[in-house]
Amino acid sequence: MKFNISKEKFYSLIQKVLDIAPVRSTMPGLSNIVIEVHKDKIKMKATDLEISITSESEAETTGHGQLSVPGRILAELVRELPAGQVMVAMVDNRLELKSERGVFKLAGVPVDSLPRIPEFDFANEVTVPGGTICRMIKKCVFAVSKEEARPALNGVLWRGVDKVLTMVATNGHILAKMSCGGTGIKKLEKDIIVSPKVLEHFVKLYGDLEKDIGLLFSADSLVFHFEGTVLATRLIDPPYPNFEQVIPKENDKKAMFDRDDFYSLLRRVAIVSNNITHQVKLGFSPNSLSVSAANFDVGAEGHDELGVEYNGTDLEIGYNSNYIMEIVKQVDTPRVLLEFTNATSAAVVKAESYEENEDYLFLIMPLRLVD
Amino acid sequence: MPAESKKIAAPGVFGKGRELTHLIRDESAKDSAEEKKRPWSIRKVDTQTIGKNRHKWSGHKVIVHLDMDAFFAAIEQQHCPQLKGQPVIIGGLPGYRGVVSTCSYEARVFGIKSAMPTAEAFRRCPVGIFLETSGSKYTYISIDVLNILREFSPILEPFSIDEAFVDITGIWERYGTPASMVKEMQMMIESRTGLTASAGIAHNKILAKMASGMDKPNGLTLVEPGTVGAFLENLPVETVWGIGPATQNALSQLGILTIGQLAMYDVYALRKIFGVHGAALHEIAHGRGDSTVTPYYHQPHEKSIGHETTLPNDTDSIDVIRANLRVLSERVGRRMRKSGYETKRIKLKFRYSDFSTFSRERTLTDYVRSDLAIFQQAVKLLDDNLQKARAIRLVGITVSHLREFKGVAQVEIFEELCEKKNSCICDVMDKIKDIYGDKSITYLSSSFRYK
Repeated sequence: MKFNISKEKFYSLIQKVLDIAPVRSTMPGLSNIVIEVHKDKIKMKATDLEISITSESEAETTGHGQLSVPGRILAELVRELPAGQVMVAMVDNRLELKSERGVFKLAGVPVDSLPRIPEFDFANEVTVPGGTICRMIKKCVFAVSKEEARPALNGVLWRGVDKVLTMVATNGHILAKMSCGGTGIKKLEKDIIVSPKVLEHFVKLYGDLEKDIGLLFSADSLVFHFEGTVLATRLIDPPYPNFEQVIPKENDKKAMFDRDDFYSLLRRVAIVSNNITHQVKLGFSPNSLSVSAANFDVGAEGHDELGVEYNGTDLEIGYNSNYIMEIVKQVDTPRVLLEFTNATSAAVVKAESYEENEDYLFLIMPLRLVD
Repeated sequence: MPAESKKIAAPGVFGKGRELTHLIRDESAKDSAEEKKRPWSIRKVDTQTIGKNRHKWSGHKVIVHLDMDAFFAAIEQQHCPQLKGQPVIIGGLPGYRGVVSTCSYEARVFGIKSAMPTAEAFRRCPVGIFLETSGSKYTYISIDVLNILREFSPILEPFSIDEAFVDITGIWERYGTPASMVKEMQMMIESRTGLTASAGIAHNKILAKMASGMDKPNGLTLVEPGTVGAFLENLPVETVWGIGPATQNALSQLGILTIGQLAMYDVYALRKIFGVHGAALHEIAHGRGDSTVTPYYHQPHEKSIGHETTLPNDTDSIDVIRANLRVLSERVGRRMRKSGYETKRIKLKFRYSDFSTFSRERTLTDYVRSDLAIFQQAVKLLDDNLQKARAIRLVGITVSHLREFKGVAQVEIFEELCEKKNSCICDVMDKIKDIYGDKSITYLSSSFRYK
């Protein structure tokens, strides 16, 4: 079995699947990638047992077969090959790469000794605008919990009700939620929870294609199907906490301020915040917002002010500066709306305005001011 | 005596070492009427040797190691006079699994030792009186003993429930000799608590600890400056604090059986074989060691808190193992909160029935302090690492990465997932336990542990 392919095409194909194969694994061969040759097509496959990816490309082929090889060595090797065609052959469980003058050989492992990468039937797939899905993922995925004690929070929740797709992520201190109509998803049978690794990988592969993609929802998996790539993941087990109940509906105090000014101010003040709590204090008074922080361990403190539209009573609220900066970064409009009630309950961050058919908000819990 | 001190107790090591150490003994006491009532003798200071030794200690640190004799058993005998003179074995009850924690000297006649399985102890001494340990009673008396020692010297380092180091440098001069001062300590402990202690005097902690084990019970062994080499020379290597069966075996393969031989061995070779430990062994063999007694009020903060338990029967039942983890996390959590800490790192230890032992740990992103949070992490570590269908013999939980708890600052979104709520439950349970005792309240799920 042989194939001819340009170095660039080969390298980009390897790049697509490589991130899914774990760097280290207790299961031999799991960090390998599988190369399959069949009728003018080569397919690359990798899995970490939760997520699997198959990506294909056209190439001049002779014969057919498959072999699994160490992914990272192959990637490095192909990256360093001179530009031009690469001739690849599989001989006695070895992968042989020939460039213009060089010959490289890599020992492979027969595929049947490796975990099977599932195949899917795309008859029931739903076509959705990939750009919208990407945008929703990007808005939410930063809020996913990294704490392993609560598995459901380690993923992004997808809910499809009344032609509206909603994604939610939370770590228990902040929550991100975005809903979009017109995605083509009318209704999901049940809420699903998807790992951020697969979502981030999808975002990376999709880039800014602005093309439709296929989604296949099944009882225990979600499959992305686009541009010759099939990216599938096992779903995270429910239950997801009741997020709708915790989003405050009646926050009476509202402050509107410039996003970029606020962000750069926060970056400045955060430098002098306590490096464990990252606490910054937001002091609201009519038409003015003062942000202050102090780190008594190193004897640093500071405050800065910003003009805001605010008509409520004077109020001081503490927040983790990392959380509030991450959230502000996600707002698309130049001005940000912050809604809150008091110093101990949830505040909601919104954009000044939204595009048609979409809606997003972020929830942030305060840090209790202890001084 | 707890199992850990077993390594340094040297039964039968009464060869040259003993002759060279300065055993202070009043032979005439043997005939007294009092002596006949007791199964062992009280040794008194030999007044003739006092003057001769005085100068030997000038310019040296004088460290005393006191080790209570058959502590738990002696307390039980004190508590219940009918047990006096009887072979009392503290640890597990026969018929259940467990090991001997301490046994009275009457029981030692039957060949019973600390850390011996209870079943074996029962086989050797069916007439023995087997009792379960009652921790709080021992702690109470241990504090009593420490208070007595504090009257002698403020530089006092409690080393375990029944052992302590005391630095009496300079102070001993008021009593004439270090030995007479220590004798006074021993008599004071006996008169106030009715319990006896064995003591070792040397210029550093390690020698003092080895010396206290030389002459039990109620003995006093001095290792004077200048006699260290002679004291150590013929002692078997396993007498050294820190040499267990594995190291002993490795040393014997090198032909090293006595501390004298160990001292002669090339330090670089030892280093190559045993790493850092090798260099430490060499130092000990030359009688060099730490002489800093860290007073109880200067003890560093705890670095970790842990508990482990040997299950009554080997089991592969996840329910039983979990229930035991529940109990352990409750104990660990309570101790951690009592010391005012919260944790970020949780370690699970488990031992299969074939004694292969594993420990796995995980660092969390946030500090936690509730029993439930510790339990959940332990269960997760168990689920991720336990090989199914292999029976478990022992489980343990340790928390480390401790930090002082100053109240929760971050408000949580979801009440039901909130560590704060769990932490409040624990605080209430702690208060109940403070008043009504540790067994007054527990989690229902921990009741499955005997299934």
